[in-house]
Amino acid sequence: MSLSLLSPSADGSRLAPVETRHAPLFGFALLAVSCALASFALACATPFAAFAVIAAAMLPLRPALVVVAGAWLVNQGIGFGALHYPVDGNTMLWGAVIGIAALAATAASSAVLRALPQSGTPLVLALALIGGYGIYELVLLAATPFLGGAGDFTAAIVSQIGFTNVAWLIGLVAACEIVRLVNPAKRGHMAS
Amino acid sequence: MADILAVRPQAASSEQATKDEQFRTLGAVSVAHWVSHFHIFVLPMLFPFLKQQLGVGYVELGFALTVFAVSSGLTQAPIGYLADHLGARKILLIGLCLGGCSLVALGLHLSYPSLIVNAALLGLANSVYHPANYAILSAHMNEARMGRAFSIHAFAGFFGGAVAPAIMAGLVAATGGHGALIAAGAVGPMVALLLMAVGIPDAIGAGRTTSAADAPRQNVITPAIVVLMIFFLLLSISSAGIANFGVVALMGGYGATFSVANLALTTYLGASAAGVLAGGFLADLTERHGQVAAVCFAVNAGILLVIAAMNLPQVLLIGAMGLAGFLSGVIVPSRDMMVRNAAPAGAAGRVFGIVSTGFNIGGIVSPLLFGWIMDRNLPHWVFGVSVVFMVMTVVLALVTERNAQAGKTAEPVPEAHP
Repeated sequence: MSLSLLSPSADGSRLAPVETRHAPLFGFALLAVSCALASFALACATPFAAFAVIAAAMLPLRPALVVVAGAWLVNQGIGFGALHYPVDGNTMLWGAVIGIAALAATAASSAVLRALPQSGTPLVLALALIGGYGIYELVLLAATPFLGGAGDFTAAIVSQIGFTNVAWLIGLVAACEIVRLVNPAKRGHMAS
Repeated sequence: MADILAVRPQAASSEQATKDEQFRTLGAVSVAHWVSHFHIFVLPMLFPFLKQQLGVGYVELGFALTVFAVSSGLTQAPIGYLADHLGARKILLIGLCLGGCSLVALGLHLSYPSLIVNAALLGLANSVYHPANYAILSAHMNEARMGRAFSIHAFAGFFGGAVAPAIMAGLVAATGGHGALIAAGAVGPMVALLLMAVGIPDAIGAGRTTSAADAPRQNVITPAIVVLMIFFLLLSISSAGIANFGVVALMGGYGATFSVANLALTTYLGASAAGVLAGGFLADLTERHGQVAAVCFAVNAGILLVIAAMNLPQVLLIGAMGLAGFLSGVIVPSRDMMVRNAAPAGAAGRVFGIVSTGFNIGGIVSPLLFGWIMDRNLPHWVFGVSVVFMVMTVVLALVTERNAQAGKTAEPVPEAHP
């Protein structure tokens, strides 16, 4: 993929696979489907930080938060509905904490993207992922004194989930760029 | 000259933006209506699972549906007031979340008391859709395409009900009954988030309504609205008899096999959905919506009278049922336009809430009435009584039309519906 494709759009969003007016619907569908796939494969290790970066790069903060909340809802629906998570207070509270962490990661990613210059999008996305993932893990860690599970915060597990997020971010950015390439309206913009 | 040339693309772009917003609003509200009808069918589709899990009979399960219907019926009008007062958008989003959460809660904690409580909550959530959706559509759709907008909205509801059995069967097979409840419930909040993401507008503050502060003060319980509520009640009874008891009546009184009776009903319901879409175009072509409804229902009554009085050959029976279904669908957008035209500016939520109560009353009365008819072994009268209610509907539609025309000549209200 040519890095020149990853240039900011006219409205300032880092990723613009579709026209601005369709971006919320596209983002919602992309992350809902991605989260469904990830939830079946990874359950509670779903790469929410990657989703947060994609949403923040495509949308203003408020719709980005809504879109990530939608992805979280898909994750929890699949967890309790299809993967048969235990129905107890601890599991439900962990679900809520994951949701809060995903929203915090979205806010952090959005802040990083706004603070950094418009050029060099791949690097900026990487920094946004570092910021988002850091906040995500911190929120989860902050819940462990109340909900348990501090033993899972080993360097191996945290870095493994981090690499999963990197892989998903690369995949999702690639998906956005493919959509942009096949989207006639966006091709027109690029030509002009 | 250069200025004029510069303005034209700008005007075209603004027109395109308005069209885009209307398209988005119609799509979003129609998806919400889809959820409404999908959720209505979730509990009945899970009756075998619920019966086994809860160890109760069909009477107890039926009671949950009664609780749903009563809760929905009692709250439509107050919810309409809230939609006008607090904003239809907010009420719609709350309804989607409440309905979804009640199903999720039932999936997480399944017991008979929980079923009854959640059925009541689901009924309450279900009461938001008509007042809130129609208030938003009334405020934001292009006047020239309002009939088609109402028809697409109504069709989405039909579609939600039509696909619910297949979706629920798939969910039960894939995840079990508990999972099916959770997944079906999650659709509600998910669609609420989707509506927030695409930026669905509110009815309050739109150009066609009065200010939010003034709207709730208007008295909407006028004779015209009461007549429309009765119109909805009669409509509901005449249609529900065929939809709910058509199969048993055809089998019991006409010697139809189970598959033929089901095919006839499927044709009726499918043609009805197609009729809804066709009715949208018709509603945009005329302002005499009462007369459209009256003519369609008069023809419909004639067809059903033939079905009631004669033992038609199977092909003719299915064809007649299809035509009757199509005509009953055609009147739906006209019906909604009649309500809209009767609603004072800024009071669409309350008016649609009040008249939809007629539907709920019909939903409670018709099973008792037609069940009583079938218990007396009078299957022909399922169609006969439907004809009687259709004739009453025709008369009422004409009366409503005459009142509306008289109201227009006496007091023009250009601001309400330009």
